[in-house]
Amino acid sequence: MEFELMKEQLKGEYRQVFSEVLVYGSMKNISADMLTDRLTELYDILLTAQTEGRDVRRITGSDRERFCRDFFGDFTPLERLRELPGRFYSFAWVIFVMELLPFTADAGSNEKAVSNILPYLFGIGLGVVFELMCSLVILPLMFRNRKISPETWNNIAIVGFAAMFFGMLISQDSISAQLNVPSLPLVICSGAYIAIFFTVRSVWRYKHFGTIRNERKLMLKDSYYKNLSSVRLELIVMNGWKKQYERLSSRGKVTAEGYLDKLKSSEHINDIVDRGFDLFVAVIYLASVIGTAAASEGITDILVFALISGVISYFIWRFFSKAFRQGAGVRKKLISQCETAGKTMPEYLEDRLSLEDG
Amino acid sequence: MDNAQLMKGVLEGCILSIIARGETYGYVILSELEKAGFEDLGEGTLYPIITRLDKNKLIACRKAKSPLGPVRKYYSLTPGGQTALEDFRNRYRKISESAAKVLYGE
Repeated sequence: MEFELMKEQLKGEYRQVFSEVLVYGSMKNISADMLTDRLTELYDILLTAQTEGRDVRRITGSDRERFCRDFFGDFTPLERLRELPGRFYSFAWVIFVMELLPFTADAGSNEKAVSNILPYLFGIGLGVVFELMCSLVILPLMFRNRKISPETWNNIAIVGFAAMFFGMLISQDSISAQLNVPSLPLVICSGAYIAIFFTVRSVWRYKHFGTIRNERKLMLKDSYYKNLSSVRLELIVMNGWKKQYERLSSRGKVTAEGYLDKLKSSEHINDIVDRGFDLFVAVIYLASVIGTAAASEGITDILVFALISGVISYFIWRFFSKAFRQGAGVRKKLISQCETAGKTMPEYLEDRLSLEDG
Repeated sequence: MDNAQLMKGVLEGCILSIIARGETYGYVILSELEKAGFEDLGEGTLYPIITRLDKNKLIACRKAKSPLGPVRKYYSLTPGGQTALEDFRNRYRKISESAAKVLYGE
């Protein structure tokens, strides 16, 4: 997300280069840490070059594909191997969750449950095929065909992956072969791997960065990158308000002087809706847990359901709540700035938007 | 002869030399090399070399805000880098003197 916002600060060829490097790095499966490290460095250089009016070819050379290859040149096969435990970590989560759910439901009654691991192997195969498709087909085409934007090539790759994924799901129904292994060791092994990897990574991060949190995420929390998101949101809100004012004033429903008051009263309603959403999520969650408790006999089932639906509800609530808060923060800031400027809201919007255009 | 390998070796020394003048960052290093005549070099060649110098602890890296806002990496020379630079200068002088004798009969 931050990379998209960074891209928006660049223009023309500078933006094209940033997009190409971003798509190249993603399709080549460069590690997230290295990608962040390189892209933030490149962003600074491109932004400086753009400000100074320096030709982008003096930064990238004339061959962009070679530039990308060299730019990530130290992501050697050995580096790729070092990334494997991290990839297995994500994969272990998939196995753990997929196998734990049915296993928990059958706990006690089906101790000799078995799992078909063929779909996981197909999944690994799909990943390899996708990576080859990106490296051998999509990326060379992207560098040769500049008429199609890097973002479009990225979308083509996503559609290709989705087509292969659904093709794999459909074809699995017609494959009768199974590769069954006992479920319990699968759950224990994937769970143990997750715990060990998490512990080792936390210790390593603490030793190197003084925190167990993701360095990449911490860096992108820098006020500059956060501000990029806020600036974009401000523009969206201001444009929305401008259109709303034009529509309402053309029908004679609001005056330039009265529009600020109308926005302030809308903000009160938004606050109530925001609090109502928190309550709504809590009520839905409790109702579903109580409903399950009433219908179920086993305490384990109820606890597992409460835990899983609690985690899902929390993430849904957090996502929407964060978006609401961010939006409300920007709207309140604009209202306050307009009041401080002593202008009517339409005047304030006109001034701010003309500044942004300039 | 592999031009790229020869170039990388020379560039390593030159980058160390630029950083030895004082704490600096990627864009300036690139500009300095370009001013010295290393044309069509590009960040693609430069950055992996800087990363290697950093990994080998010949330079130290500090992250700070640039005047334009985004996070920028500032590089400075470590004591190990200072030794490596002296070593490179000595080896380079010796090789170029020997090569000049053979190539130009100096």
